[in-house]
Amino acid sequence: MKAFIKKSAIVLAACFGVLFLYANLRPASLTESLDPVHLKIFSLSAAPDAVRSESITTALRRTPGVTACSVNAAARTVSVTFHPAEGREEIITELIAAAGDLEVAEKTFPPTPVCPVPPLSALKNQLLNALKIF
Amino acid sequence: MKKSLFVFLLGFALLSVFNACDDDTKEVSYEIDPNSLYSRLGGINAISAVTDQFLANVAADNTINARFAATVADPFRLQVLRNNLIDQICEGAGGPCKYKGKTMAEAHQGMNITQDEFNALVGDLVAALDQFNVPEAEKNELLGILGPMQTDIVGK
Repeated sequence: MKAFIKKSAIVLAACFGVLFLYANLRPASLTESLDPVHLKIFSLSAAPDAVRSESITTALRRTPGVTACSVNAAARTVSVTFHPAEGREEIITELIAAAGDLEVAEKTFPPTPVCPVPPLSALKNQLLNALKIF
Repeated sequence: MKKSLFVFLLGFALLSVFNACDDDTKEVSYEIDPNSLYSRLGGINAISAVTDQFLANVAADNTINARFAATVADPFRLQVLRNNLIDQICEGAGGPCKYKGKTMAEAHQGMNITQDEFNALVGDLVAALDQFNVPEAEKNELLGILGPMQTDIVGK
């Protein structure tokens, strides 16, 4: 039993070592070399008029780190993609509130049973990102 | 006997790790045809910018945004979705990318996506392309590449 545990530990350590080397030495594809983005969806306390919608859009586009935004006045929804290294969610929330003169909260959704991106694909990505230190 | 079994298992484990990760980046070639749709769209940075706008449009679109809630909430799932979208557009346009995600039929199996939802998604993509002033010819060429995927997405 002891020998089995020892050998299993060696095999696991070898797997980890290979995975670590792979994560750090493999050439990143063109897409993987792009900076990652976060996407946040916000609910507005009221539907902004055209002037406020434009004001929110302009303010967001001027914000460092923001790569895209969309204001859906009828749905009282604003979405923002941003580089997490440059932009912060709290600042973006405050900015939308100030530009639209509205209360802003993160939008919540009821849970959906099926999603086009399986969690396992993300797990592999997460593992490689965690191991990549160089 | 025990030793050879151990060596076999170790070798198998190492091979498994290599094979599991083998699909990522091998065949990437950066030779780009200057007349390809990829070049005319403006390359990877332009496609990335359009994709971000497309994602933002989808996220603000109440017809379909609940479908993406779980993905949006997890940065790593979002990264997979974004990279898959960029790879799909880039590869379809003749660029040096390789789509590594599931087939459209597999990815949308059991989702029961309606024609209205698909149309909303296409509308969000068109709005993103329009925002970046993508010319009509390039826009139609790209939609012509992505359009046939509809049969694998709607009603699955």
